[in-house]
Amino acid sequence: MKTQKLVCLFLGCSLLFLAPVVYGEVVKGDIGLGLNYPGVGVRYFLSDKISLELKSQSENNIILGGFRGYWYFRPIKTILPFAGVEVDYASFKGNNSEGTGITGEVFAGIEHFFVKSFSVQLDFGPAIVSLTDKGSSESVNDLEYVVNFGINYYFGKK
Amino acid sequence: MKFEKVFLVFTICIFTCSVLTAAGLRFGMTGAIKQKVVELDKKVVDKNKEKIVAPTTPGDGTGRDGLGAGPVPVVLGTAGNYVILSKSGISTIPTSAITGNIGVSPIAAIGITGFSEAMDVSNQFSIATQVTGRIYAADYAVPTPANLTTAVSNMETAYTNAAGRAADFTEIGAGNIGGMTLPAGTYKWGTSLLIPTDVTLSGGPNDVWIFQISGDLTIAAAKNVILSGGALPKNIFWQAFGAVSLDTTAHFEGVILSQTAITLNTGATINGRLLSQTAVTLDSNTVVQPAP
Repeated sequence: MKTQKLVCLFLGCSLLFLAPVVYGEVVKGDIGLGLNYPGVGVRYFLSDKISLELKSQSENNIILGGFRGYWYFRPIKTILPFAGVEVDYASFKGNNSEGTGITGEVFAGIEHFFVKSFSVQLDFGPAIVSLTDKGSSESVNDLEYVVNFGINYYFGKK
Repeated sequence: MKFEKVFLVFTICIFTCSVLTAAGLRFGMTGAIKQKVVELDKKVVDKNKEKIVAPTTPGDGTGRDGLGAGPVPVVLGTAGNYVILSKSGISTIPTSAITGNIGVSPIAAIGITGFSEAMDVSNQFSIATQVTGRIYAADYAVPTPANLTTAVSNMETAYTNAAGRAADFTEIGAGNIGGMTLPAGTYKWGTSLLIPTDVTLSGGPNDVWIFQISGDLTIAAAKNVILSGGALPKNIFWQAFGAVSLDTTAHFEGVILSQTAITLNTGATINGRLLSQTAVTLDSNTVVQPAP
């Protein structure tokens, strides 16, 4: 299973560099609103290559909030390859545990524009998840591989 | 053409996500956290098990008749003549199946609803198809009112007695005993008690359990209190200061002594007694009194 994960990760990263080069769509000052499973995010471009996203997700008694930093590579037609890091704070309630935790992820992916204001993105990467049960002080700290899918709308683009 | 392109890209994205998740990747950060919460749940249960199996000195007494472990049983007095006893009413949404006598006092028979009971010629009790036993109310003919007054008084004494026992274990699981196996003893929580997954009471037929709960007592839907090793429901006492709720199709074992209401949701079952100082609410339940 671990080998499968690594193969998938390698193939995904390879896709970023195999597509033909043409054009990108975001510039400094752009603001985007994203729907990502299962949550929302707001993104601001600090420069043509760097953006910062404030995100929140909620699922099955898990509430998560955090930041994503994106670094965009050379545009490939209407596709923007990117890599970045994510840091989140989460609260959770399981069947027998309840508490808080933090997560950190390094990811790589692509964002594809249908039109100038609308795109979809797909990324994945390894994430460290650290959770602590407040009742027993038991904790888990482990690596998971995460895939993210989102839809973005950019304001002010025509 | 544009629509076809959008559709194609979405399809590719969904397909890619599916393949990656099938390969073991988690969909979204919450997916990763969800997986870790499952692992943490297991660690918490395992830790609680370690805590419970630690040697202990059970409280006063050695179980029933000095033959078992844990505290001496709570004396129910004549409250033990009833499988359900309530001060302010018993209601049911048919069809429930109750084995044993039920009674209400000081409220009159008007506090019994949903049973379609028929008065006996003696006017001392009534009967109903949902009750394999007798129905008593404070306004029935003598000696029923006096008997009920005594039974309710005994119920209140039993509640106070159970609440006052010295505890062997305190705050086990921080108010969550799901997944645990508990030996005989007196358990105390300063909070509510939740049973979100099956809990097992392990011990012999003379072992006694007393659970002292400062808040509410709740067992989740379709979860069970399981007895193992010959443990008997007559030796298990749940003293709750707050409301008691048995969620849909849950199964419970033992005598419930509640300061307030006891509610059994649809299809919940119990081998034991429901002794409430306010109301008991049933909804198509099975309530069976413990064997003597």
